[in-house]
Amino acid sequence: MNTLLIKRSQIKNLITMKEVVQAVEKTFEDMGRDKVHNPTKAHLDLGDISGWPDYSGGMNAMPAYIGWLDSAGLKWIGGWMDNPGKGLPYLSSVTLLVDPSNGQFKAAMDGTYLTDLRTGAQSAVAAKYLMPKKEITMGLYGAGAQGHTQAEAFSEVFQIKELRVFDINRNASEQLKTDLSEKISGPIQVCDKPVEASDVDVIVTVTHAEKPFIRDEWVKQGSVVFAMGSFQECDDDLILNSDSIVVDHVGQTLHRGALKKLSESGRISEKDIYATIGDIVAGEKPPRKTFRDRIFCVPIGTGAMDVTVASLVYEKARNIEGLQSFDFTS
Amino acid sequence: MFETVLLSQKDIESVLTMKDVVDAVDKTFQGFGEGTTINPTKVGLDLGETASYPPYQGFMNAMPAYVGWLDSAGIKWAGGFLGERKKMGLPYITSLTLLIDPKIGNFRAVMDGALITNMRTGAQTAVAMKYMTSKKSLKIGLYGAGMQGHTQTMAISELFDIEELTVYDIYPEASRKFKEDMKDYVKGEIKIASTPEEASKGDAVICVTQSKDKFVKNEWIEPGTALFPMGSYQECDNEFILNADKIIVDHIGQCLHRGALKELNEAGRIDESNLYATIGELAAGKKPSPDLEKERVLCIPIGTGAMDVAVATIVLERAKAKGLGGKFSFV
Repeated sequence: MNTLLIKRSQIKNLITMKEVVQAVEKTFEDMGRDKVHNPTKAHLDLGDISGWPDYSGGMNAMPAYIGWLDSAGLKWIGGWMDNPGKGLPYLSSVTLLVDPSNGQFKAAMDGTYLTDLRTGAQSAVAAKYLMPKKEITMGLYGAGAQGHTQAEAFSEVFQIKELRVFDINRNASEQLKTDLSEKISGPIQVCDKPVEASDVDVIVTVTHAEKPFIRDEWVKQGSVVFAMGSFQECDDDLILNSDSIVVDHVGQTLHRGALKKLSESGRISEKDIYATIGDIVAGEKPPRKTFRDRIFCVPIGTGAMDVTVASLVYEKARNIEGLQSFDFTS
Repeated sequence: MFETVLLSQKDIESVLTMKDVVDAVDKTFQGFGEGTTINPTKVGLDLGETASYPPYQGFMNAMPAYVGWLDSAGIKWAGGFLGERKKMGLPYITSLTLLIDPKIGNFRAVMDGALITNMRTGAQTAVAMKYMTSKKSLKIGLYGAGMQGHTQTMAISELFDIEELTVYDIYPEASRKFKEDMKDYVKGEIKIASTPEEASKGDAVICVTQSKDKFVKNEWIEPGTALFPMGSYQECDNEFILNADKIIVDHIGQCLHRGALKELNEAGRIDESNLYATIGELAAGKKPSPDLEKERVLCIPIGTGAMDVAVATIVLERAKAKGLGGKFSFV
């Protein structure tokens, strides 16, 4: 059987952020109802943890089955810290889809653009439930590819009254302002200091920062903080003083990203996590107790969302002419 | 920017011999023993193999690895399906393997993974025997005359003379076909067993079945035998596992959670302390070989992604040299 091959530029033309946001919401709901299999990802260390082999990279294998789509797949993705300095992309990924009823490979496609899209959509969908407003101010830390898709995804769900963006490279922020001025209804403010992007309804951090730089006292009541980085961008007090912690996948978020250090030192554990995003979207738990609650949300990213988006891409791609395919089994 | 090479089963078959596979598996076992192979425990996605939902009688295992001696990284995503796949007449195994350049992460190849799976599974047994016995010719007992039974025999014949082979399959027709197919690989006679017990004698007794029945009995296995239960379930009885002189595995974490040791491990009757060595430790000379004159050995090479990545890397290099396969740019 032929396996469809889909490249990054084709994916960009096949799918919109609006479709991704809708699909991610359905998959969160399915997760809350146990209709999704999403085993904890397996990491292959190529120097990003142990130093051997010393290539500054690592790959995560993220398989999943999605009930409402009846689709199974695997994203294999990694990042190489030294790549941008060599003029190479940080992320590298291919996603595979199989027919879950018979194991035939339906598609192999680029997984990097899917990742940017679903990462944006995950926090926007979570915010739809966690933030009881339709018009918001948004603070964005990190103006790269993921910063763009975060702002785009939020603009599908909210009226953004004002977007404040901070990046250690001011030119990146200026570029984001140029790129998104049509898509965001309110003004885009480029910030010189991190603190300037913090007095907002929703904070989203998508940086490679290895040390905390967002402080507890900057963040106001009633806000939601989305910590998306691989390391910890918010200080310990901000996490520990939040009224609730919400995650997408309990196992993965305690061992990677913003909660890792506090989890390893025993200051945060499973019992400190109030709910998963799936629990809230499926209506199993109320999103918040009071309007004043400060919520710390870690949607670290699940293969389930990648397989969701890849399945949408495949359903569109299979009906268009001229795409390449390959029969691996012949 | 980067081109990814696409290889079909036919492309792979045209550049790969069982001898290549045995060599690659041997070096990769040595790498395991020396610590230059990185092989995280595989991640399973249950599509109804054991879980009740979804109801597809299948599973997919994600098996990433880095192989030091080839400086190559990759992942095999492989599964087995009964149900609809069987009805369609397709082989049990479905698989693709992806290779990346470990230095910068670009995708070097996407290729069929099923053929390599079958070949390397055979080679794992052959190489394990190489490190467990000083004999040059072997008597073999074989349960399962299907594809894997063939590749087990072909791989062993690369390293040993097979002086006698006794095959048992629940379908006698499969055994007869096996005998015809394998006559050039077996120096001595191929005997077709009419009862399971007849195939239980030999230097190596290999189980490549889909049985869940623990049909190989402790009392059948004589001293001087290495039993290889290669299946996903348990093919030999608990008494043999608990009474074997030595248990040798390819990957400790995986072997305790899948295949022959799973049930006893979950019941708390077998744990890491009951394992004598890994095949890698034998290959790297870090542990002495078992005494296959006197001992009864249970050897479980359940299969590691490292073997798939190693063989796939060799295939890619050969295919590139010959200009084989398709090309695609994912980015």
